[in-house]
Amino acid sequence: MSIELNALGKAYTADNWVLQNVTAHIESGEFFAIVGPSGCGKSTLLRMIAGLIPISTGELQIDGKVATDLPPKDRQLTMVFQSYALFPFLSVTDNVAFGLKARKFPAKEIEERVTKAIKLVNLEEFKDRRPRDLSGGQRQRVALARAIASDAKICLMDEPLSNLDAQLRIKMRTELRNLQQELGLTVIYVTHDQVEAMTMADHIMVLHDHKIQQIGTPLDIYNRPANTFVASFFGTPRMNLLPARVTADRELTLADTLKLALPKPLPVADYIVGIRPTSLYLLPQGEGEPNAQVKTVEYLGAQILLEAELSDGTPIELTADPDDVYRTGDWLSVGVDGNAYVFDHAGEVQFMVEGGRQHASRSHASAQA
Amino acid sequence: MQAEVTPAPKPKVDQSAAISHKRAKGYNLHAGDKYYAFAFLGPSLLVLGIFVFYPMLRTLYLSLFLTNNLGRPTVFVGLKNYIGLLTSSAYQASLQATAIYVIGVVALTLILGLLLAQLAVKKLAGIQWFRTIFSATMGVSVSVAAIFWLFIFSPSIGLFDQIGSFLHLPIVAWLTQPGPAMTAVIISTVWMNLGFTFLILFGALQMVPQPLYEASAIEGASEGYQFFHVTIPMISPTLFFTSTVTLIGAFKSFGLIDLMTAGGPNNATNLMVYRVYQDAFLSGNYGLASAESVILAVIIALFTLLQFKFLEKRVTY
Amino acid sequence: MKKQTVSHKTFGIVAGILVVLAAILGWTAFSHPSASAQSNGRIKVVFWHEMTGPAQQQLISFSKEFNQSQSKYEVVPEFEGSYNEAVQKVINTHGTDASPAVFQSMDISTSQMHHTGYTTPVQKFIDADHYDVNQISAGARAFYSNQGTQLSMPFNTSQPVLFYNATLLKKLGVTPPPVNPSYSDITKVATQVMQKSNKKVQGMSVEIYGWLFEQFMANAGASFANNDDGHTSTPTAANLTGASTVNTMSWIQKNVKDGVFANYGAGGNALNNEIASFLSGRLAMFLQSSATTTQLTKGNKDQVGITYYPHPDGQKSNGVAIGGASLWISNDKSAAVQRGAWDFIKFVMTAKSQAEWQAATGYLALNKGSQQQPALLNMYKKLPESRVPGEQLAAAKPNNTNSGIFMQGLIQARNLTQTAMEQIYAGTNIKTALQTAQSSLNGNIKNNNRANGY
Repeated sequence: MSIELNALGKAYTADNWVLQNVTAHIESGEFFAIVGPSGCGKSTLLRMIAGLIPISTGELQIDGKVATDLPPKDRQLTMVFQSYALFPFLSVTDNVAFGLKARKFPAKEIEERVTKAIKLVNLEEFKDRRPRDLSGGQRQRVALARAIASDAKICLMDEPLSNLDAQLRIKMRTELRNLQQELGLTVIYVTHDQVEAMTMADHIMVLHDHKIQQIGTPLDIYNRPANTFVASFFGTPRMNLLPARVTADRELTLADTLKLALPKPLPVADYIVGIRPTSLYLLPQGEGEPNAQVKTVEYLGAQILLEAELSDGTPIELTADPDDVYRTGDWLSVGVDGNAYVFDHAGEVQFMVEGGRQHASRSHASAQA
Repeated sequence: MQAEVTPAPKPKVDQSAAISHKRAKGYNLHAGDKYYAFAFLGPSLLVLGIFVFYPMLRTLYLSLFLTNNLGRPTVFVGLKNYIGLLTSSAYQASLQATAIYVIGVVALTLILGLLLAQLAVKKLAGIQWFRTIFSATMGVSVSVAAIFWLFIFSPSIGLFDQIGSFLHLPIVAWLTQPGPAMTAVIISTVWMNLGFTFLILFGALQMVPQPLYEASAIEGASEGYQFFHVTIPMISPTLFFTSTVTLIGAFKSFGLIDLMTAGGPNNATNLMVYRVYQDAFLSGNYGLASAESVILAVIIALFTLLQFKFLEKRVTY
Repeated sequence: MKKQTVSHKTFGIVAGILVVLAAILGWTAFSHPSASAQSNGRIKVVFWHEMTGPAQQQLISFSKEFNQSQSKYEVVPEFEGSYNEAVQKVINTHGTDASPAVFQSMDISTSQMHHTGYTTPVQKFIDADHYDVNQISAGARAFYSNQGTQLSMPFNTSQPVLFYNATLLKKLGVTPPPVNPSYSDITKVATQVMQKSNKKVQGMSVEIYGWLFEQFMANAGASFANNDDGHTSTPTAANLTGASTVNTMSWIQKNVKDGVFANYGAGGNALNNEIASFLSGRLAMFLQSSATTTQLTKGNKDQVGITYYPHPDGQKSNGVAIGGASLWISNDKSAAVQRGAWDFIKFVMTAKSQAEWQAATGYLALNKGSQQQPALLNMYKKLPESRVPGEQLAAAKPNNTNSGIFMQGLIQARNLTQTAMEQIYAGTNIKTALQTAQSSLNGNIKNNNRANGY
């Protein structure tokens, strides 16, 4: 079942917009993630879709039918909450059966569905326990089983994994994804964790500042960020955003230190250039002109994360080979050899300078808009 | 201190064995510890002994006697006080009146308290004011409440009958007819109880996590279904608490009865506890009054036990 | 050893707590303002009373005046709640420092108080002082005496009377009842009030009150209990089902049923509601204690009429018993304190004091000399009707049926007669109701006599 968000908006008081002009199309059977920092309106949006919060403007369609003003129970969807919203006075079985009983399904069908759902989430041996006798992960599964049992093809999830510990969270990501595939569910998944979104979603909507920043596949979002917010929000370690100005025809100077050759001329103005730490390279010690000084060294196992300061004082992060040895205070010679993103002063992307080693005055870069 | 007495640390196995032993059979006290136990328990035992145990036993003792005009037990009659009471139609009427009163008060207090609390959790304009008003009776003393309700129920000048006569309804002699008098004291008691009950239930309702309602709304539960299948079970420990407190309170109601009807008319509101007061402190009939209080205590204990047995099972989660 | 010191310290603390606790307990249990202790060189005489309002004020004035009139005793008046409660308090504090030297106790507790053996009959002091008891109303004295011994001194005394709103009757064109009315006189007036006011004014009300029940019997010359209402020996049975009692109850029941009499119920609220209705002109007549006279006349624009208590048709009124309370002297105090108590009693019984008492409260002046006192003469001038209760008291010749019931357990008895009245007002068969009350009462009397070894 597909979902259509058509210019949705929410305001609690006049002209105080929590969300504005949210438009998106969610395919049937798709895993759709809504990501953003806390307070961006992502939970509000999910609740508007669920019908828990009235929609102020715009139109919501579910399966091609207008659902803007339908009560929650008539939207043919189900929801998994961050707190799991389990009934503490009911056993696992009764928790899963709650909605079916409320909808007055025949007893036999309830039993069949509940048994199946509990089996799907591997909770058969816990089916008579109360929630307080279950671990966090098991409670999470009960919440999932309840969603599964309802047979609704749309499942809304509000930060369902954020109460779990790190390891379990990673395990559950896979399980959730598999379950979604297996049951053919359309999932709208709200999270503040970009890794979760990247690893699980078919499409990601990035929300910030009450507005959509970008919608796209995880790859799109990572490789073609629409603005500095999206660029810096996705990817660990975070993308470096460096001030830049035009110093020659087809050349930008970043933080008064690095030169970036451009595929086409740019009007003279202030720019911001985004470069991922992995897209910077280091000349071997003693080679090249030193232009950055090491401030901290973090060993991440597969690589080293260096925090450095360019000669004009702009902080920069870059990765290095774990076999090399760096100490605080070492001088480095840093150059650009991956994709660089040129944003205007407002943060909107202008074009991408595609990979290829560039250093100092050398310029053999190709560019594309 | 104990560590200093023990010369050397015991082997590990021994210690865990000691602990499991303690768990199973309670603490094994050293002779010196017993000394302390009594020193610490002493004050409370003393106070309980003087103010609780002695009066209880004394009441039981007195209930087996006829008491003379000085209140001294003179003639041992065994269980005759009890038999006389239980076979007298007046006492049976009093039991019946107490039952009606207690059931009426508990049921109405809980239902109305829950209703008000349910209204007060809604986010409506000016609800703060209502919350204050609903809980206001907490601060009203019994005597003030009695005067207030007497004014309302008073014949010819009372508010109810003024309104009644304005609407050409038949005048009800609220406090001089058995049925209406019982209704009147129940209404007044419920009104008195309402502030406390409202506040407690309101607190309980606020503690119910919002996602439970949201989840059940999405799962297809109507508001009524939510009330009975989410709200009630969630606040059931509080409901149990308030019902027990209200029940015991209703059995012990004295002030309003004394001030409003003094047990009348025709003993219609002569509840068990009021009879105890009348027989002991007005008539000086301490033997009879003691028997009455023992019966009352047994009944209250029985009801409380029943409540715990039947309701507690349903309310723990 | 360290352990020893610590345990000593801890034990010391615990012991200290215990001692403090015991001290507090002891202090609350035994510290009570000492009743017989001397202060300012005077002998303290604690006086327990149960009066509120103007009567309480007057008692305080009496105490002050008495204290000023002499320098040997100091009377300390203390309010002790209701009559019923005070009886139990007196019994329960007897023999302790907390007990009073002189106390006020209600009419129906007379036999009980006497039987406790906790009191010194005032007869002892009357004899010692050669006090002239003839100056005190005989009807009142008779109530508080047993077989020729004056047990206590009648004090605040009232008579049950009938009040009517004279102005209202005049307005409606109804002739007021005669000064010594029969049942049918009352029925006639009440019926006319109902008819002429278009049922806007209630004709009459008889409060459900055991005292009034007893007075109907007294005025009809019927005994409530055997052995001459206990005046010859301890009663062993009650008689509530006599023909005259049934007759009285039928009179009331019929009128209640016809809507001629209003039913205000029982208890303090009934009295308050009755008075409120009377003062607002919604009730024409009601039976009540003469002690309410002040309350009914003060600030009332309407003229209030007073008559004797109604009596059955076809017979003369036998006279009613008094109501109220008397003053008793406790025997757990020293002779000096008891003497002080007696002196105080004499002080409040003078012609002057009694006149002031009636003028201030509406209770009757019991000293015959009071009638010539300016306080009373002034009052009669202002309110001629206020003579009536005193006249009723003077008119009755004390006999065994109109001198109160000398029996214990009268509070319970009143509960039973009140229940019977309530049932009768509500339409229950009169004989059944009275019979029920009587058999319960007989059971109580039997138990009571057994418990007290009579």
